[in-house]
Amino acid sequence: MIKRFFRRLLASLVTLLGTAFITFFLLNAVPGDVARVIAGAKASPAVIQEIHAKYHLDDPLGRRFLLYLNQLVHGDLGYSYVTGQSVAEAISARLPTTLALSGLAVVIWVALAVPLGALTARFRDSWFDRSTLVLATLTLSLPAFWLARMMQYVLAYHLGWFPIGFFRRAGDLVLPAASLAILFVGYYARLIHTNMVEVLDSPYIRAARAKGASETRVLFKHALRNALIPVITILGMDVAGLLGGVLFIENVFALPGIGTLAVQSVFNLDPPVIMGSVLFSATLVVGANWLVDLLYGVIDPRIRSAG
Amino acid sequence: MLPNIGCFKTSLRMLARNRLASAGLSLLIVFVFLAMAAPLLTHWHILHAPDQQDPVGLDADGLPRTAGGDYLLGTDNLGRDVLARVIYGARVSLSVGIGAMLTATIIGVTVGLLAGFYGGKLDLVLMRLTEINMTIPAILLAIAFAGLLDVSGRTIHLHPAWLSWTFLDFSLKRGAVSVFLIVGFVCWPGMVRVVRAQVLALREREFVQAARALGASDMRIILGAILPNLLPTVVVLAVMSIANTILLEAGLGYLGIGVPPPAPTWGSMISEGQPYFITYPHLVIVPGLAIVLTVLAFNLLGQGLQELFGSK
Amino acid sequence: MPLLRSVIALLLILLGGILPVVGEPAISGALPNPAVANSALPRRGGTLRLALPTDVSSLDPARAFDTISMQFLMLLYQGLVEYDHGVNLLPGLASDWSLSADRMTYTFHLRPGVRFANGRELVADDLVYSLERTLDPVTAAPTESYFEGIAGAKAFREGRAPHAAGLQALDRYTLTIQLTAPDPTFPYVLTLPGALAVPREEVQRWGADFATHPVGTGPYVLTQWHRAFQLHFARNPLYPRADRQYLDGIDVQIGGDTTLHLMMFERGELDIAEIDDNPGIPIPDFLRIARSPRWHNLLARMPVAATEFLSMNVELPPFDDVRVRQAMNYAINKEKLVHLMHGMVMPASGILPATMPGFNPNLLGYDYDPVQARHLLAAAGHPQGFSFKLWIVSPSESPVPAAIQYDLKQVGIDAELKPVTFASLLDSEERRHAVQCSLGAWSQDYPDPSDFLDVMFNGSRITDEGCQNTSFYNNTAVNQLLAEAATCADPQRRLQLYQQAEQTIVIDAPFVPLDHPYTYALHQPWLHGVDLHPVLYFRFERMWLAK
Repeated sequence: MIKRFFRRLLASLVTLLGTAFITFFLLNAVPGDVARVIAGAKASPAVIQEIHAKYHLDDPLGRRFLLYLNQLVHGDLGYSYVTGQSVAEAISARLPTTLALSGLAVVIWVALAVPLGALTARFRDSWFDRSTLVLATLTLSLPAFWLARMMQYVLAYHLGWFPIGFFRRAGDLVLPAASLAILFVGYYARLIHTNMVEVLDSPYIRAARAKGASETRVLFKHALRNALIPVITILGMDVAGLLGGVLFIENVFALPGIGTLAVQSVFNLDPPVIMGSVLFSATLVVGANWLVDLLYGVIDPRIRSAG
Repeated sequence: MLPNIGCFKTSLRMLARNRLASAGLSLLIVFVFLAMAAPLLTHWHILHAPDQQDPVGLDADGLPRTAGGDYLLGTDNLGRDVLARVIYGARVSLSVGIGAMLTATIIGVTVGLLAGFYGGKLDLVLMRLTEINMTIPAILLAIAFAGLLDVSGRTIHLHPAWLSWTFLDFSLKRGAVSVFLIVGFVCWPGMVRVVRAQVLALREREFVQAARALGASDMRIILGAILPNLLPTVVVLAVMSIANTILLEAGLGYLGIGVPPPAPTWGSMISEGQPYFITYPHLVIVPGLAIVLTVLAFNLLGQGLQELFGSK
Repeated sequence: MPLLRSVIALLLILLGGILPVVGEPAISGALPNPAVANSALPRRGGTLRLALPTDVSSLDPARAFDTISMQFLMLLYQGLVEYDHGVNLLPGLASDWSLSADRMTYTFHLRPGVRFANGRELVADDLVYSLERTLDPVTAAPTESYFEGIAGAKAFREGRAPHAAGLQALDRYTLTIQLTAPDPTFPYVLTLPGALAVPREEVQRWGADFATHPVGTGPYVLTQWHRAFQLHFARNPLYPRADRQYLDGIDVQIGGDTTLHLMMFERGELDIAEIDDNPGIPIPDFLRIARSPRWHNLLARMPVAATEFLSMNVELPPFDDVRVRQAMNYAINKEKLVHLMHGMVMPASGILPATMPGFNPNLLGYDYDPVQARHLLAAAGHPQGFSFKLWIVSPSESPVPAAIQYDLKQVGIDAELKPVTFASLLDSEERRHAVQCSLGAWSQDYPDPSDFLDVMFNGSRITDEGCQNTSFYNNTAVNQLLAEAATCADPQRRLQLYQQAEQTIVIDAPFVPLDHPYTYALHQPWLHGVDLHPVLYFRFERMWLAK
């Protein structure tokens, strides 16, 4: 078991290193004087020269990457070329918003998807099941930003049920989180449905039924628990998709999160911040995968013995 | 047992029995037909030209017209016909989506094939590469790419003349090509795992073993024995991935880094319509609906094909 | 079934959106000018809620030089002089000033007892320090070139002198500024950010971080700045005037776009719709708001001393041919632009806006004449037209680029739009031989024609990098006129010289003047004191809330 963890940890580190490598080269392989971005259009050649030296802009790329790695190892993500702010500081200032938004969204969609998935499995091929399937496919087909704009327009602007933008208190996140949840609820409802159908056909459930357990008990206690285990895995592996959705939702509602930071940094041509937000997202994704792996081992003893 | 996709007629009949999938397919056929026929429709004066800034397209105050009358879906801020722009937008958006799908499929299938077939160190390296690509949220990677192309001022210029006779001709110029390459480069990792898993299973099958025993080269085995059997899976994955590529293109367009104007794409129409959103929501709703319907159609078709081929 | 319900709700929305929009009742009549007809007495208290699409670039007066930052700099700092409600100058930190007989030396007497927010008293030396800091090449101040007329500035900049000889603190409260030549615009220059007073000890303590830890003598202090998401200002207890500190605080949220901000404003989540410089309200919503009985009286309008234009690089083909440049001028339909902008702009025929001294109503410009444009193109050897790259700022909500592209297409000219960020447009177009043609705007730094003509069209100022003359236009006759006007003592004659220069430039056509914009301010009924200022736009320190 311990060996397995270390192996996974090593693999994750290699992945992150590769991510850093690829992003760094993508961002720096481009001609264009970063010094001008830092110093402004009016800077004198002497100032430009100074900045070149300070940021090692004239060194070969490989060397600069090693310097950057060295920085990373010391927990330093560098400083924004545009604002001069520490990248780590910028990210940590925005982390709470992103975490709260995604957390709330996950709670909403799981709370919706579990009963939907369970009931559609129970009443398979009914009118209810079929219409849910169509709606689920529809939610998969919605552009995140478009859905968010529509919800904002109707529910916040026209009906005034929610505040429109920015993040001042926790309640401001309900509408953005709900928009985000809609994008995922269909997929998860179908996933739970598929698993439930399999579980409901299994001898285990037939035995429970034969013993005279009530239908509700069979459905929600015995079957659902078994059907949810694979869902947790998918949830962990879906963090990248979630962050992609977060990026759009944050932009539509002007929330101060990692997503808006990433988009701003791209528009500002600010490589340290782009690197920082990409690496941070990648770490979240890799970390979530790792956590799921760990959790899975705890939930499902078969894996523990096999590991 | 894998179905014999040679039995085209049977497959089609089975697909037709799946009502949702056939609804998706019909919708797509209509869209593609409209996209292809758009210049003809304009020629016959059935449809306005997409970039025509008609003085009567704006009201006396210089404001867009809402739906009805001469303009079925209203006009935009420059007095251009929204219906015409959505239909012409289909030409670019569909071709960017399909181009990106082809890019993603070629890369994804190649990587999955090589990783699954050869295994060992190559597998390790390729799968790690795939995983790296999957750790970065697709849209983030895409905007990083797009930012690059913009910064350097070296947007990729490709003018594939051979495309000009197909319905993919559209206005595949400048931006459109770099956008579909970007989207394609971002979308391929999704395919790798499935393809690799299939190849791992196929590799052990009798007919592959037999071919190997007969001394067939690797290339021959891959192309002759494995690839044809992968085809159903690849088709399903490809159809489903168009849904993703279209959404991603729209996302880039929304952020204002998609295909540059004046070529209308659904994404850029939404982006251009944004400032008009409060007073003229149709400028955002119409192209948004076009995206939703198209993606929905591809998803339904993909699900239908998946059922048809019995793959999971 | 919440999912089903939201989907049904969504479908209803979608259907609703396709149907014609129900407009608000139209009210005819002209727009009222600054609409604060409310007689309520100023009240102390409350927090002003604002939103900005992008972060303030810097709150260091030596580094900031854009209209957004300036509105906040004015909360934090003061200069020797300041504007009244128009463009007349009033004493600021100086209680009075005088000009010597040779018109080259200004003497300022400072008010005693003015304190920086850190508690120290401001003295004449602080102004010498602040101005020298702006001149210092290490600071790389964007306003530096405006101060090069100070005696000894050149030697100081080149490191040949430890101080700028023209800046002298005679005693604790007396300052003299000596120029190398008479310059009637110099008092205006002293209103620019580069002339605001900063305390040496705080600048040295914070270094580059002074931009986020500003200390000045102004009515407010910065209490919080989360980069790119929030700013908060609170009252400066050391500032003496109660009529510049009605508000307890000013809260600025950063992010979103003008559409989002307008939605928030209409639902009462913001006190002013948009404080971004132009046009102050999203173009598409303008008529709806202007005609709505609810907002009609809360919308103020002011012409901006600014010009939007196409700048053509006369050193690069095909724009090195005057006939091509004139053809461009004939090909663009400015009336259409005004129509597309719903009258939020005035058509421009020359360079100087109507509110600028020296504006020439009889200037000979170009009327919309595509036939003439084709003739000129043919004469210049482009009977089939040509194609070129038109650089525009992105993201932009303006219909202008697409409208110009369309007009040019009608005479055979293919304009390929190249959208870039504002920063990278500036960087590129100010480099020689880099940009063929760009869509730009210039707004006044102070009300004098030199700020337009001398800055943008003086050929003797052309440099290879950082050149504000973005068409690289160089006409000796114009250069001479501008040089003569710069030091001319007779105001009448001076304006005539500028008009003469403007007419010559328009004939040479290094650019296509498009329009002069209006700016608008839309505010809630409970906000008072919202008088748009012609140079500084919003002056938050004069506003008060009465709910």
